[in-house]
Amino acid sequence: MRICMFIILVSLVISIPTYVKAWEVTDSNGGTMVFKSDSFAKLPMIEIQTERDKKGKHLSDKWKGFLLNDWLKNSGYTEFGEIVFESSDHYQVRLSKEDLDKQQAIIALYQNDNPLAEKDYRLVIPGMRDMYWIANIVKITLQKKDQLMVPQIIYWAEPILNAKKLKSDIPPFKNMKGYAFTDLLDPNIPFPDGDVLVMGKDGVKQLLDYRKFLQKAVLEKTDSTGYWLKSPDMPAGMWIKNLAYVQFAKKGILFTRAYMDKSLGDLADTLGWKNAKAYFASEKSIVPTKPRSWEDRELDLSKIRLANPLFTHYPYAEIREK
Amino acid sequence: MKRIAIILSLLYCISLFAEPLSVYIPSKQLPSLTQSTNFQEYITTNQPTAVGALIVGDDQTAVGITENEFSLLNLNYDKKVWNATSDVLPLPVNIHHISCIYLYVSNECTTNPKFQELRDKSEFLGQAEKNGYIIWKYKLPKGIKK
Repeated sequence: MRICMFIILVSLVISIPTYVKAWEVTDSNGGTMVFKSDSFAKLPMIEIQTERDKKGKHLSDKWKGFLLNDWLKNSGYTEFGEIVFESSDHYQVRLSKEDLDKQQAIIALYQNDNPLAEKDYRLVIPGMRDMYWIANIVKITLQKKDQLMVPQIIYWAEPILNAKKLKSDIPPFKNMKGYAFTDLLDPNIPFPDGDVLVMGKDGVKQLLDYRKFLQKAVLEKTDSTGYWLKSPDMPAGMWIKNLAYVQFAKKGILFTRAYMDKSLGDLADTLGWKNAKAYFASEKSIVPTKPRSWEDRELDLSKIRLANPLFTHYPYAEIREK
Repeated sequence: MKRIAIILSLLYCISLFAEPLSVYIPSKQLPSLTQSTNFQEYITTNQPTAVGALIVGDDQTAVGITENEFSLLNLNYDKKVWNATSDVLPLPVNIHHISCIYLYVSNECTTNPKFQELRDKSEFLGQAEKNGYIIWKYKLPKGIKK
């Protein structure tokens, strides 16, 4: 009897497939490939050293892994503009190909000579903050260039929000004051659906699906860090402190407090509006220190002098002065 | 015989009039469309503060457009149905048999809660882009209240 049970147990164990993690890679044409992460150990590896400060501690780490760019190239992925990594808890990291080409990004399989578990294989980019160093990757999406267009109009956020009632404890968040993210929509954004660009003052940006990530989001008002974008549908690591800019299709919303000392040229630079930058960069800062009235709530790019082929279908006009 | 002829003539005359197309700011009805027109012309006359419109087909699919696209959309009454047509905007905007139109209004004193509710209860089917213009496509829930 015991022998029978032992045989059954052993055969059960043998029949359980070995759990291998895999990355699903979707190319810019929608084609999908699955890469098992146990194959990564066979790739040529390099070592890099990183220094960073985290929660008041200085961390010095040695990482060993394979070069991401080489792996992408060898896998046939050369034609893309942006790459989006997603972890199993829906944390997302978005990088432009330009950024990636400038950095020595690796997928680390070892940290300080200790092998990492497959789920802990980690994107490490020495030249970028560790919030980009995503682990537990399950999905990589390659996208074409120019996903984001230059907006036709930019509104000031503060007058839009000030016209709404400041709320306390918007579920599920407690001990907070602020607004629902949807308060930003009325009265200018009839259709928020699709990808929405959100960017913090520090230039960290995300392109997020409105219904999946932002519909239930809140804008927590803080004294120290302006508006803090939090969503129950986003891992906390993706929340954006000091929200500076939001763009729905061709309509942008700028948080003047976060952008007080910057100009549209800086914004164009940060967001890669290459054709627009040359014009905007020559403009003096046109962000007022404080929106003066409701009428000042919008900065209409069509009212800006035209020196840019992107805007040739608009009439020539000066920046509106109140 | 004469009476029958009069009745038939009357029925024929009635059939010549376009069935009016209803336009709403949700909860409020605006003057209906009674003849083919450019959408911008209707908006300029009746609701110049509109910044968005949801054009609803009789199959409950709807297309969202913003103010930049109003002038590029024509509303035509043909063979007893209203159609939306445009050569410039993305293809899904060409709706055959429109049942009604909802407007989203930008005004300091106006909010659009009913419009938002309708949009949020609808299934978002996707965006389409052509010539730099973007439109949104939705599937509306059944039994919507105007």
